[in-house]
Amino acid sequence: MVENFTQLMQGFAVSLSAYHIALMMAGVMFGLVVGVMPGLGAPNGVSLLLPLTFTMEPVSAVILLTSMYWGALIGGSTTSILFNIPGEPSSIATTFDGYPMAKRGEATKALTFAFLSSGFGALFGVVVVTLLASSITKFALLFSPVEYFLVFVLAFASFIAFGAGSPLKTIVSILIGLALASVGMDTISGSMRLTYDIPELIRGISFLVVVIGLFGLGELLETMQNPYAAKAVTTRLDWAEVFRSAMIWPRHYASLLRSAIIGCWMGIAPGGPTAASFMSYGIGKRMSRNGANFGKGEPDGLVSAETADQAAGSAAMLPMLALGLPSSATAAVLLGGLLIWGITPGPTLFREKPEFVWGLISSMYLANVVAVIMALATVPLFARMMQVPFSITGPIIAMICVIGAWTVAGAPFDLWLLMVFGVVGFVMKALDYPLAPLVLGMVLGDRMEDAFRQSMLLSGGKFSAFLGSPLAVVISSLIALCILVAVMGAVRRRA
Amino acid sequence: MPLGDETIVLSRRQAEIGFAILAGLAGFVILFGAMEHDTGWSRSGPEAGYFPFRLGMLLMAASGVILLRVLLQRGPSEPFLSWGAAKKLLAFLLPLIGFVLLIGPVGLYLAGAAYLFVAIGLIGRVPWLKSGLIAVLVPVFLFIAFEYAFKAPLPKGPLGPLFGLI
Repeated sequence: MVENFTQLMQGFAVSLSAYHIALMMAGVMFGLVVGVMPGLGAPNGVSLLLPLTFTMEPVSAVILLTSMYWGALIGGSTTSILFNIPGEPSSIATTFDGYPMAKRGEATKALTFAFLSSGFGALFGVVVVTLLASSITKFALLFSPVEYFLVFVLAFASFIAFGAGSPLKTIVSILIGLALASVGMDTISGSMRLTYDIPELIRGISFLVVVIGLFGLGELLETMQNPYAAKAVTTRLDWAEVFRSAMIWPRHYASLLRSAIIGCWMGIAPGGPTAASFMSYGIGKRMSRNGANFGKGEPDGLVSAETADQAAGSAAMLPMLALGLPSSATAAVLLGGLLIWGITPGPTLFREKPEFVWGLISSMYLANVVAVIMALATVPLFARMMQVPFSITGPIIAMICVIGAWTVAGAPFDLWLLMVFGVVGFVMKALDYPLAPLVLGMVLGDRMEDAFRQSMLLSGGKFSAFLGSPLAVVISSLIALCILVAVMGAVRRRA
Repeated sequence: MPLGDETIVLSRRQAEIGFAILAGLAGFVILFGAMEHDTGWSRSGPEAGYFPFRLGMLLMAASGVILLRVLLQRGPSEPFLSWGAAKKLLAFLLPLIGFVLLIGPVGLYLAGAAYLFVAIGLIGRVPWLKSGLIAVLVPVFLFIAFEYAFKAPLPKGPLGPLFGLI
């Protein structure tokens, strides 16, 4: 504990420079824009900005991109409350009570509650990350390739068991992601795989291009079918009311604490912010005194959704850094970024690059406070921006997606991939194939295969290695449990 | 038969079947690609084709089960795509494809300006002056951002030397 605290202080020495604070503000601002605009989501936004960070110091780059993530998570709630349009999937649950509150004339109160709850959830998540960092790295040091392979399988298994989509469709999504990852040079033998003599495929398929296609163009095509009619409840913010709301906000401490814990759990175990906000909303409905009013503009409902959403986002940084295991699509993109910057996530990262790890963790404290303040300050601006019709913003966002895909490698071929994955993303989403597992598969694919081949090499090809250590037995049982849950769910739906 | 905006061009059932077949085909292509390598074991553990070969098989199996389940389903299917919606999708996609085709010959900024003008003015029916202004100002802003602020130059086509003078 004490050791974590000293490390954290050294982290602040890195993150509290004028340059890094400016990056945080820029990141949060980008994030707010991305969070507010439908068609520009957090995974897509981070992918668009990532190629521009290739030349930056890794710690500066990660501060910029994570700040963008915090901004996007928090910004998604502005439109949820004022327009009943979730800017991010993770703020869908925010519309349930946020929009009715706004319609009742309590828009300022709803926004203040949403931002403060987000801030609380985020800070709770960062404190958990700070406290657990050294113990989880000690735990992670017990991992050999066998355990790594199993933990990757567990991540996929839990998506199949607890994800929103049908288990079979989730499996298809994961397999497509894993297959896309294996295109290009094989990391172990050096031979070219799945390139079909197409020279452009030799360098592999960039997950950034795929994410911009699936989440960017795909979402634009979806919005094109049902263009939103943005009618704001109000675009004004009454500052005296902000202050009054902030004063009564702590009364919701029970919901805040409960949702923060649920959020952290869903952030560390694969689930991600969207699942966390829904789960917290559902549990809150049953446990809160005002549960019956959920969905009719109940502040407790708004607090439950927003707190868990942001807590999950920040807690997800822990498994990402310590195990290289992202629990959401955006965390997967960030993980891909780490690999590009030459940072290998894992337990040794905490010892080898403490300034990177603790610089990032310490920046999360400050960036989330910055995000709350900037989110409040920019409400009038974004409320007006949303009223620009989609026939204008749509093509501009599409053009930004094309530029984003170009900056990844400067390859014309990538632009065609972008188009293909845009259509594929649109169709998959319309047919309820979940997209996050595909991204996870793409980012984890190579490392999962390496771990598998290394474990097989070490064990001499015996599959019994996957039950060879106590830890491996535990993880294998958890995988079996996930499969059982998925099968039972499928059987129950049939009956 | 004349196509009205309400005419359903694709039912959900057809879309499900189509995507499952495509995913199964992708599985086959992966399987086929993996067979160019050794898909078994050597002394150095699983060979290069081992993993993709099994991925391809699993993908074919999973999409096969999805296909079977859709085929066995009885009852009417929901609509997936109406002609009106399909037209909106094409109206968005075709100019975008044109934009990508133009990047090679005339560079990204000019192609982008043309794209924005067509997509916003012609298709979005935003007044000419307004869409013209957007079509000029957005690429100019992006030019300043990418060439100077981000130092990530984008393709400029034959206009490149001209920009060099700035």
